[in-house]
Amino acid sequence: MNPFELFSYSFIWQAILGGLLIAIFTSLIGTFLVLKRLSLMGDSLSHVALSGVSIGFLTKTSPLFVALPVVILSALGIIKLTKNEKIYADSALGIISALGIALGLIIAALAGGFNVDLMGFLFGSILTISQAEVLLAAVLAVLSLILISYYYHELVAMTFDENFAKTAGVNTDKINTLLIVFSAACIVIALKAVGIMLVSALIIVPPSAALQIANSFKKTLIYSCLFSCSSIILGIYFSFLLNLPSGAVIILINLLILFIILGVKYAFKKRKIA
Amino acid sequence: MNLIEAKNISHAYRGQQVLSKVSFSLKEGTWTALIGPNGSGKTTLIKLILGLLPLQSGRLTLWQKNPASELGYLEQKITPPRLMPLTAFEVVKMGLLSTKKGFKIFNKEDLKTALNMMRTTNCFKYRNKLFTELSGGQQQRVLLARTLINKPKLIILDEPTTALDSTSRESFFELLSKLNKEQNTTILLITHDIAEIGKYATDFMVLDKELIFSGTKEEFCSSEAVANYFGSYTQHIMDHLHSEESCPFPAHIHNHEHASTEAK
Repeated sequence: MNPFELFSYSFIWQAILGGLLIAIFTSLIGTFLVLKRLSLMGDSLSHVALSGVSIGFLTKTSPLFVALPVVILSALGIIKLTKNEKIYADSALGIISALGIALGLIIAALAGGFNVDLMGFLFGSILTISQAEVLLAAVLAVLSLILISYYYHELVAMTFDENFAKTAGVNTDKINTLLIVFSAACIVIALKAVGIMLVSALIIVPPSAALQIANSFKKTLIYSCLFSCSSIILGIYFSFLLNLPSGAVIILINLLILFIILGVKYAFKKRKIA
Repeated sequence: MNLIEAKNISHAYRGQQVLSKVSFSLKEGTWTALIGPNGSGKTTLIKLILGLLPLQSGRLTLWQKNPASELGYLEQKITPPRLMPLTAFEVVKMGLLSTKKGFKIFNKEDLKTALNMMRTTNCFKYRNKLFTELSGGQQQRVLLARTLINKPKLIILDEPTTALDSTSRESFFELLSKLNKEQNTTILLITHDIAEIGKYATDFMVLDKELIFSGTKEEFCSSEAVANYFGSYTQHIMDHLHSEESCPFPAHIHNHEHASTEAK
């Protein structure tokens, strides 16, 4: 097979475009989530997405569009639970996560069990992304760029030292809510690329790799975006070429980038000591 | 002019009272040392003033409705994310956040101000280093620069010199003293080190869930309430605070103690 043959298919270009847009907003939002120690938020909300997707199948409506409000409402629930001093933040995430999976499995069973479509959402199928979903991803990518540009200094200050941000007059509650609700939306749209099982990796891994080498916040955002975009392009290419699941290949490439960076850093450190 | 007026402030955490009917006022241009044992409610009180905790009861009036741009706050220690990719310079620049609107674009003048402030607080040489890679003392100097950069009317400090060595502590307080005298900056400082702060503070507040004392240094030195509260430690405290002009009561005790030591 000609290794460049895939680029002659229009659905591949649609997948690349959709994937790149998803990579942009997940890596940008993910950087703040990782630094704010909210990485597990992605995991919990993706599990909740299973409920939303299942409701979509049960009611025979678009699973992604049903999952969107369900996950956003759960994100607001997490905020409410974490504000309750009687429950730790990670416990709140665990509770919501368990609720999401349990309900999701029951609704999926009622909707006729795990069919091919549901498996697509569980493990991702970027190659089947529709034009409407690409459009939704584009809207989210633009909104995330606006959100981060407008609140950049507030977000950085809040991530660095929330008490300082509050005394500087930053409405931290409003911006935190906005960030989490936005993360929820990003997670739902990103399901198409890598699936419920792996979407949190798309949020965690590129920023984690970027944080190893960047010496400024802006560079972290740029590197994170670059790593994520590269993994989408390479992931689509290799998964098509080798006939492997695209979501898994995308995440493995992301992890490969992280491990290479960690390895090179370790080698440099060793050489310095020697 | 009073910058802060507090009336009957009470606060409880999970039913446990940490502040009880605290009333005081903070005059502009004063340097007030807020002292009290651990768990006496000092940090709670300043968090209420800063708006970091919601007011449960009482009334708290600040000199203006939205004082963020005229308020500086420095904690004992902050714990940013370990991998936070921010340089010392970027942290100092952050101090100008409350003066910006919209997209908050920093101009050349802002950058110059940040660099000058870093020179003033002796942290200019590590401006390009990551904040998280600096030592505790270096971090505290960077945070002081961030606190002072927008020339606040009121600076609230919560045991800010814990991570500093004695020389750095001295220069830290000298800098605050200069601001207090030359720019009439009001300072409210939580401290356990009465010996050190006695040289600079003009006013004292003693808190132990309720307000034991609030007044000038002279009043503090001769206060019955202070003597009753500290009991046998009063003399020790006053010895540290002793200053010929402003504290006649300890001077008497001080001289007496010396005389009796010499007699031995």
